[in-house]
Amino acid sequence: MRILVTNCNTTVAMTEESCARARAAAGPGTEIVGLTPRWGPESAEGWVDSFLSAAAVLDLLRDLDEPFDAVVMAGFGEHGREGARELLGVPVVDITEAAAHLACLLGRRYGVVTTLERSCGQIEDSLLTAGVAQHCAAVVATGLGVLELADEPRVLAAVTAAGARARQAGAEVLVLGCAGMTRLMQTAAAELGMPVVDGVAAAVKLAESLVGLGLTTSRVGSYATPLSKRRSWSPPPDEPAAGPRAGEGRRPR
Amino acid sequence: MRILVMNPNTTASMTASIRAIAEASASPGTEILATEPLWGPESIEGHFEGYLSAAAVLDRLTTIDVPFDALVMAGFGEPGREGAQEVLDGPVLDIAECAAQMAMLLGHSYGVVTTLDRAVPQIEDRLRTAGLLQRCASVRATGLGVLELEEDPEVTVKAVIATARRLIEEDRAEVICLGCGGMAGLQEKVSAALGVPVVDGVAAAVKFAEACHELGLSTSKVRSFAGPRPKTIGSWPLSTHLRDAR
Repeated sequence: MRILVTNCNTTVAMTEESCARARAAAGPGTEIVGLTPRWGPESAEGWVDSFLSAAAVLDLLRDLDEPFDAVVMAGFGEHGREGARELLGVPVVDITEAAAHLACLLGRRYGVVTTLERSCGQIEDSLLTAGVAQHCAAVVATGLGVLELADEPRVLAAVTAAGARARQAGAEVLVLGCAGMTRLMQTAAAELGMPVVDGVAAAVKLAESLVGLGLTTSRVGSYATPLSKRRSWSPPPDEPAAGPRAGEGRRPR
Repeated sequence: MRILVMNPNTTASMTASIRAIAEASASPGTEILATEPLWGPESIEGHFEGYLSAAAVLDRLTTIDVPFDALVMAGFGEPGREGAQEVLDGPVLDIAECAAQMAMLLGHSYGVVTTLDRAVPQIEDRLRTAGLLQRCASVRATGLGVLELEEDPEVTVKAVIATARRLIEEDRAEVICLGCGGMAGLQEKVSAALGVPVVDGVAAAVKFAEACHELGLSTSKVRSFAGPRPKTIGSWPLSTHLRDAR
């Protein structure tokens, strides 16, 4: 089977890192193909970035030529999974919900460690709409930005400290809430003495399970195929992408 | 890997059908062992039998002498999962929870088809404790008892389809979970009749067990599911006690 792993940002190195993690988790016979959005933010940190990223990932998914069996959306707490489910006939698994589902099987409460404080609310909302927030004890930020995750000793210290706070809040399992942190899983688990779940690995396993059981997204309600209509994905070629026209835009107070 | 699948009742023919669905959904390289408790009710329909079964399953676990990597508890809505998590080091998967979790990846809301009406509150409580009730459209009963499911397959399929149709049309469920181990194997027929994904809990739990094992993940032992404290438990395990008393 072939699983597409979509990065939520345009940083190719992060796509590669997610793919490496996905390949390590994948069963024999599973092929992992990484995709990077053609446009959008270089890292998704906040709602503006997240909504941009959702559109960019959907843009990527809407005209794929090669066949694939499932999609893993590798943005932790980012938007878009419901749109991808409408669009595609194959199962779509978001790493946020996948990590939470596996964590719920391993402990009574789980905690999430993420990057910046500003990402916490988004992650909480994503867990809430996925219906898995009830068992989340805490979402704790390390204070490190997505692109600051290269310095391993510093990241490990920050993740361990944040994990300890999550444990104090009642977490018994830890979820690493950023694809860039997954290298540290084993070390973090050893330091904290509790299971640590990586969202990309969890999502690959759930995608394999759904494909293996012949299950895909329900079409009877929320995730019915998008209605047929004109949709423009870029300005017409003869019209430059101009600013607001007269009478629109910001009004003087 | 080796998965132990535990039928919560003492009916061996149900163990056999649960084993068949577990084997059909397992990956190559996964060995399925299936068993049932040595004592307890022949089917579980109600809270009294549910709690009896939970104790009988924990008792049965003390008598298993082959090693296994994960336990699948094949009672839909039966209590006991947390106790098994305390006792065992490997992951423990409850089929009601796994069915709901898998369904939540496939639709905005899911519905559960179960046996008797009296099973409905038990299933709701199981899903509530597991934190999964929020996306459950409804749990509906076919009116067929657990052991009646095996009597006439045609009647069973019709009853399950009719109940699932009401879940979709009246309660707005988008995915159907088969809420009894005895309904295993009906997914394809129900899915073909209704055009929605149908999740079998045993299949889902086997897949989740494989996922946990392959990712090297097991139950957290830091608080809720730490091993039981050493102490004397009178007449426990009951099966050994009764055998010795004979």
